[in-house]
Amino acid sequence: MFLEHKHTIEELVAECNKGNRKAHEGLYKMFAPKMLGVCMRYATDRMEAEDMLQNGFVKVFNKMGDYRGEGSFEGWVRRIMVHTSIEYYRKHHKMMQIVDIETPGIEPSVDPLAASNLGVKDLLALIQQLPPGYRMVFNLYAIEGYSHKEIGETMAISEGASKSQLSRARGILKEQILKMEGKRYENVG
Amino acid sequence: MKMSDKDLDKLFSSQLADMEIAPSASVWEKIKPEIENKAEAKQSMMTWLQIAAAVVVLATAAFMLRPQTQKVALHGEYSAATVNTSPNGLAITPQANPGLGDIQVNEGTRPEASATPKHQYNDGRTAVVMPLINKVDTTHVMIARIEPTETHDAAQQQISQPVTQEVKLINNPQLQNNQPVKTLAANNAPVQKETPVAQKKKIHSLGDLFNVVIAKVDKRPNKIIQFKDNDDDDSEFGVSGVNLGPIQIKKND
Repeated sequence: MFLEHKHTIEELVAECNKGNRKAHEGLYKMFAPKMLGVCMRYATDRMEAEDMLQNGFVKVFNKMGDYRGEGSFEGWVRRIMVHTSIEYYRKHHKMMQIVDIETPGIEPSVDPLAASNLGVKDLLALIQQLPPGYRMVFNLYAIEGYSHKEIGETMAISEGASKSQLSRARGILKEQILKMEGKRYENVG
Repeated sequence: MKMSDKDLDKLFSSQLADMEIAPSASVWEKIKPEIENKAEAKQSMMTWLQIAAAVVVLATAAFMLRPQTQKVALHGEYSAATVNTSPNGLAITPQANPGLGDIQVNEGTRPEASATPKHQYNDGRTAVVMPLINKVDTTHVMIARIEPTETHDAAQQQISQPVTQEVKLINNPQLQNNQPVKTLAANNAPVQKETPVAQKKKIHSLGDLFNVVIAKVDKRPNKIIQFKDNDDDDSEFGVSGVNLGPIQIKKND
């Protein structure tokens, strides 16, 4: 079943390279929901995310000839989406550069059990509320699994800046989770 | 209880990494025209490239096959004078400019032709004197070499002015001084090397036909393109040689 699925993707890719428009649409339908899920994490809202998705897919179709079958096609598409999202922010938000402030602040304590009650929508909302630079770094590190070195190269910032932005992003997130938990307790109580 | 950084990362990645959200239909509608335009642009680009390539090929061919005004350039040394060193000999010096076709007969010549119809050689061959020598053959120059009889100035020479660029020189080694040869006339003697063989022999194959046509246009020994003329064994049709100036390919079999 898995092989069959993979075969279909390869066929679609081959057809796309021949200029088959139906194949383009087929690939889009296959990957669009997943990729919008990726873009949503990098965007502030759904409109931005759909813009990123559109730019990303145009790139995917234009660069289709570059895909050499190394690694999964989905992974290749995902990387393009991530890069497109970062590029999008470079173009639309000039406030990417963030001043490094060495203030660890007070670590808010969050109950992991309580946090586990947070749903996808809550967590997504938390990420989207982060300042763009923090959001990018946190996404790349915590979810995409990039190293600080890779993040530095991708975003054209120093490794140190990546580290400090990650820690600030975490700090904000913990703070927000705590607040949400507090609200929840208030509602319950 | 504190939440570690790792736990925090895990919480987000476990929930959000594989999140799927259906995009609105308008997204595909915006993507579609962009990839169509790209595909069309690519296609028209290819068409232009093909046109450009065709123009280059045609221009090269036209350059290679342009009418040759200077024959010297293609045939190498042409102004060679054929000199008969014998006392009664004859020096014929065609000018490099073939249009004028001046041929000078240096020694012991007499303008009038007093040709006897036939002369018997010692070895029994017959030299046919050309009665039609005054009818100007427009394609060939005819030179009659007349040996002296009793008087030295009996040698005669007949020249018809060349109209075309072809000039043929006959300098028959058989023609000895002491031979009582009166007249040797040559018409259509197959002496000239450059004359393409294809013109002489029958056309057997399609390749031959092409070769003949090409030979008409391209006077060089290596034609711009030559086809196989293996008429007897198999009627295979193919190219046997290409000459594009710097690029020359010749198949030897």
